[in-house]
Amino acid sequence: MSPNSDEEQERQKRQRMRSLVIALALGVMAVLFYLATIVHLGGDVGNRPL
Amino acid sequence: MQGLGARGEASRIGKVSEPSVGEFVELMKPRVMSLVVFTALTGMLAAPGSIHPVIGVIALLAIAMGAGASGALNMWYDADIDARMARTAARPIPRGRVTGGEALTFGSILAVLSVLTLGVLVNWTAGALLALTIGFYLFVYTMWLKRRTPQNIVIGGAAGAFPPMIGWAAVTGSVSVESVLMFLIIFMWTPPHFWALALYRCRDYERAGVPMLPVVAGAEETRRQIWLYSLILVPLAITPVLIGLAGIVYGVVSAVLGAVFLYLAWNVRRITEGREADQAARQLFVFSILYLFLLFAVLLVEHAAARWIT
Repeated sequence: MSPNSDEEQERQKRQRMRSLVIALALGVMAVLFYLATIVHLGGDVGNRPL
Repeated sequence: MQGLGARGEASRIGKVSEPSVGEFVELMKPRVMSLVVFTALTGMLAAPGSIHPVIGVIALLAIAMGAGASGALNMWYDADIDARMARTAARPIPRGRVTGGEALTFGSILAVLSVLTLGVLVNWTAGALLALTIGFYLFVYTMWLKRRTPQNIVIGGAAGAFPPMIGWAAVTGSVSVESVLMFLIIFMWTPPHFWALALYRCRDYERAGVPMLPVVAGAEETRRQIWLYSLILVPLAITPVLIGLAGIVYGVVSAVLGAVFLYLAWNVRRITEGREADQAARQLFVFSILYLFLLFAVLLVEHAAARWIT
């Protein structure tokens, strides 16, 4: 393999890892927002007049 | 294609970003982040009342993100002087691993997200305090004071003193005498801590053109001020016992650590020549980190134990 090809592979690997971390971070944020909403709504949220 | 970024450096417009995840983590100054989270946690546990564990964890994560944002934005703005100082030349931007534009974007997004998360999911008093902290660190300390006055870290040090207030506000939704006292302890600790560093890194700061006190006013004046601030800091750090914020264990530990702090600060005042002078400054600098950590650790343990017992 040529050095340029190795560098390109390395660069793409770093880019993939960054994308993965961003995706995970966004996923964690979504989960945290969901959990916080459940906490703020309280345990008896289903028991209300509709 | 190249253009000029905000700080006059070349930015790689049109080129796919190169840095690794680790380099973005470095931008956030993780050691500073951990100290911020630790003091914020202490503020949370010391506060009266309780907070749901999920909300508490979210608060700490948001505070950590805010601290990381501050670090990244500081590294963006100070890339030019970081490159000229031995202590900071290995940071990601001077090393050419991250561009200024990338650091600015990363820091800005983190700052907005952290404040919004804390405000929406915890409360807006804590969110506002976090926004104030980030803004103060970036605009007041980094952009305004750092390059203009030897009082830069005295006033700018307020940014590092806010986290326990933010933690307290996350639980209570307000500010109180106790949280202000925790702020003041860190605020008064900051000058002797950073001036001890500046004393033995004077040539580094001089080369970079940063007007730290030893560069502007000389070593003797710096030693005198370190001693004066230490004389204020040590009794202030014992005050939590007097207002019921801390117990007797904290009082004893604070008094003992304070005596050591004063001894080392007096050495810095007394030893003015040669390698011994640098050594005295370095000893005070290293001990000051342990001092603050132990003070807040004991405070945290006291409050955690009290909650566990009751």
